[in-house]
Amino acid sequence: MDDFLLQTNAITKEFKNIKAVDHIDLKLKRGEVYGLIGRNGAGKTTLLRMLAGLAQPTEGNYTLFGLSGKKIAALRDRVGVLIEAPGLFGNMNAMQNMKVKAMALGLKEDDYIRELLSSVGLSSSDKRPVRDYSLGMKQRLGIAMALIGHPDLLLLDEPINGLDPEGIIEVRELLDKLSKEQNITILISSHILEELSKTATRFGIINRGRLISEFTREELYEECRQFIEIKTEDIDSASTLIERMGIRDFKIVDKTTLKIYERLDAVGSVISELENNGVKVISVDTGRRSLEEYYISLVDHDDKVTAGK
Amino acid sequence: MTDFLKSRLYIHLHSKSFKIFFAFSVVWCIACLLTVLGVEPDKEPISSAYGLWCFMEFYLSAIPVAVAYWYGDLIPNRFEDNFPFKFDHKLSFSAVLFTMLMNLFCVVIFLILGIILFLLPSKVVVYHNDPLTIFKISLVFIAASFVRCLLVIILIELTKSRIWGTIFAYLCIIGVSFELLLSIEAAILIAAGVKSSSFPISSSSIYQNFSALMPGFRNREQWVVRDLHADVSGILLKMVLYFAIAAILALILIRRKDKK
Repeated sequence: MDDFLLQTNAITKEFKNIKAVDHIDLKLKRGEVYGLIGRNGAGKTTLLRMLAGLAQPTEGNYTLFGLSGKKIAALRDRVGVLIEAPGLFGNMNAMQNMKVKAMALGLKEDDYIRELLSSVGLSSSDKRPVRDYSLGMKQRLGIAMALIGHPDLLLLDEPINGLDPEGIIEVRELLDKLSKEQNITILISSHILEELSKTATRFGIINRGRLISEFTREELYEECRQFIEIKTEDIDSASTLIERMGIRDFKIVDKTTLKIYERLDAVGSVISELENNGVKVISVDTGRRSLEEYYISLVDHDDKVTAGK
Repeated sequence: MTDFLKSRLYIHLHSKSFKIFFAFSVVWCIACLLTVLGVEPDKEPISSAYGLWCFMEFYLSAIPVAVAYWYGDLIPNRFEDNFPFKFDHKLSFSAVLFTMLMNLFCVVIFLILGIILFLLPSKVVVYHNDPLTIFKISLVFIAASFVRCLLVIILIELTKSRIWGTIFAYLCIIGVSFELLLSIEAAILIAAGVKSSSFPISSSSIYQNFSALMPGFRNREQWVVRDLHADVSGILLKMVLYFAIAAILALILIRRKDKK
């Protein structure tokens, strides 16, 4: 049996000649937290809806727990879904909403439901109708509902959307706990890379329905690590000298700027070497490329490549 | 499927629509009982078939709204999206089955109430009808209610809206859209090359079907129904056929929706 819990094979969804999802090949290992990042309309929700069996692919297919086609329906209780906002009955309280789903899956234990509610920080004795809940509470209730039936896989679409900072932290901590303590595989989508970077262990960037890049958390931090930014009037000489100093990890940003990613503790000696060789340094700064900048650079590059075709 | 049905029942029992329907039913029942027990002593004696009709009239009027909630409880709030893998259609089919079961339950309840009415010593009701006549009428009631349920389901699926589905169904059922239904039916028959037909689809789902069975109801002189001036077996057979066609259409629409 292969290690992949979920595997898509050129999965595609087309709406009236527009490819919302375009031949995506995605593989999820057991126990990993996979972050799917893309701007609004990139195809994240459509992809998740297909994987949740709420929409049918127009092309391609996917396997789940080694099963494919209609056989997957037998796995209903092994997959928890939260697509965008949770579907709740506003007139019912949290316990009643949970009971509805539990009954549909053939579960009767009230204690189990209470435990789940407690695990997301909600009280089973709260008799308020959920329409009176805050957005964060509703999202947490949605996650609790997705957890009914001890799922092995969670598909969460923008679970932190619209949450305040406290709510975001609560959801993040909850997902960490689920992943580490219960070894649940999680596929989570968001348009906020910064937030997903704290939760996911692997990432996929989706743009115009295509998966344009995949990387691990380590690779992401590597890309977004600290650097020295040097501005100079003679970029060619500066880059030659830096190479001669044995620095390989640097990048020319524009006609006057370059960034060095190694030997950050030896800024002084680098600057001295440049100036001793007649290269005038205008300014020196240290910084770190943000995750968002990295994400935007990937998407922009893809947009340019697509426009050039 | 059983679990989905239990879940739907739980939702319905906690819904506003259940409370409203229940409250209106209680009010209607009390009003009917008061009438029978002699609140209007000057009124002409009426038959128990009419008493039964009073009960069913309310129920048949309320069906479009009740069905819309039985069938569409999960539609507006996207609760369906909490259940993955819709392509086995179990969740959607459970809505149809739940609607039919709820209808059967309500019909039985209303018939029991009608029988209680029949058994009560009354100041105004004179019982002239034989049990067979009442039984025949009851069968037509039940068949009509199931046909109406499917009509509402089809219209909800076609309009993709619980509210519009209910409004259209209600207009059809009370007869406002009777001509429209007749013309659609005629167009289908003409398109199919049928020159003549004794299969009035539309009349299976409106009051007229029942009214036509009751002579006293037409001239308002004779309330007593001793005999039904119609071929009840024929009507029932047509209703069964209509139900079968409507059920197939409803299931096709649901399967198409789930496959999107």
